[in-house]
Amino acid sequence: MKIYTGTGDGGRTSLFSGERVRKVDRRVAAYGTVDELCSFVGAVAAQLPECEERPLLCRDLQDIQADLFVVGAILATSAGSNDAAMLPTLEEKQTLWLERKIDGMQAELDELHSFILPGGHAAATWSQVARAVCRRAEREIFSCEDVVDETCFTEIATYMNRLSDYFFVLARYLNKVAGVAEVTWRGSR
Amino acid sequence: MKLYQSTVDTLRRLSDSTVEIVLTKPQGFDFSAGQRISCVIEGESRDYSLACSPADSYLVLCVRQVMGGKISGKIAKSQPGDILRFSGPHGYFVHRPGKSVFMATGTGIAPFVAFCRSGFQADYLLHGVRTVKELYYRQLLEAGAEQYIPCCTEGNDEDAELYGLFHGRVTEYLEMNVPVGCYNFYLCGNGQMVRDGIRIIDKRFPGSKVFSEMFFSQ
Repeated sequence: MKIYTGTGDGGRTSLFSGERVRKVDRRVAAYGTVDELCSFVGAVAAQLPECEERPLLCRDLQDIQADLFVVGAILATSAGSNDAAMLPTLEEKQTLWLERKIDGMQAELDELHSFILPGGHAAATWSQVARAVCRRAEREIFSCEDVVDETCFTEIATYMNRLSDYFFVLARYLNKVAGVAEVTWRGSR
Repeated sequence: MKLYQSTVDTLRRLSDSTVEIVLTKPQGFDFSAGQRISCVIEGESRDYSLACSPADSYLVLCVRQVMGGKISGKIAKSQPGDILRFSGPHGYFVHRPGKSVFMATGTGIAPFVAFCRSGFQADYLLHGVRTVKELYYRQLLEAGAEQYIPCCTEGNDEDAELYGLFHGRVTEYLEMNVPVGCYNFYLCGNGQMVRDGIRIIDKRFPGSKVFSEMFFSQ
């Protein structure tokens, strides 16, 4: 099957709920960034170090990618449309799952007393990229607050806030399991 | 992905190149009118919209035998009693409340047949084909729309008058004859129709919603 449709050549696209919007619409920007984040999550998974935790981490990252597909679909569905009923939802349990994952990794890490520089192992570095893109997605999602279903919005906003924390902790955890030392910020030169 | 198994019950030739295939409905298989299934044959899969109502006790496919198409050829030549495996249902091409325009080319009419068989009425239903012989399901579609407009690209204006159809593309009819307004547009068919249709909708029907399924000749 061909991948290109050409229906967006005029600079407009259809939302999941059918409305035609410009490609610079804030909703398109927001779910575009979520898509970008989803790709960076794939980059983290592809670079995971060989370790005992690798299969579980890989599955966790795939679960997160699946959640991000849901976030994108919610952003592409206007408040008040009947189409929301067709979508899978993001629920509090997904955020609680993230919190458990964060707490589990955090328990293995030394306490932080200063900022750390993004870097170290390749997977940890991609995780920091994912963290930063997740924060941008979160900011763009908040620009859509008035056009997304209120209940869904609360869930995805909370989930994305927690997800960026997850990537920060994951980056540190990956450096630890890969045996790469963290570099702390020593102030400006 | 879960695979269901159906048995071919009957085949009915709709035109020289298109057959309607009635399949048994596997237990536990539910769908919404407008959704499609993915038929799996020898490790390859092709998507086909279901042309029946979810309330029916059987499934219906509308298959055009594509020149050189391995899968469509095999399905179109299947015999009663043959087994067909498929996954699904897939997609979100389902009916939403509101004023609607259904637009199809060729076997892209299948989801609209499902809509009509499920009691969803269109304000306009445009079916584009090359020749009048390809206007299958005409009676059903006439009853399923306030305005059913068969559109033939071949033939001439006299033929068009004789058979009560529009001589030209569905997109030409849309551009020239559908009154300006806000509609839910449903487009299913070849890429050119979907692209041209959306361009016209953006220009002539601002504020409308668009739902589309595009298929490609293989």
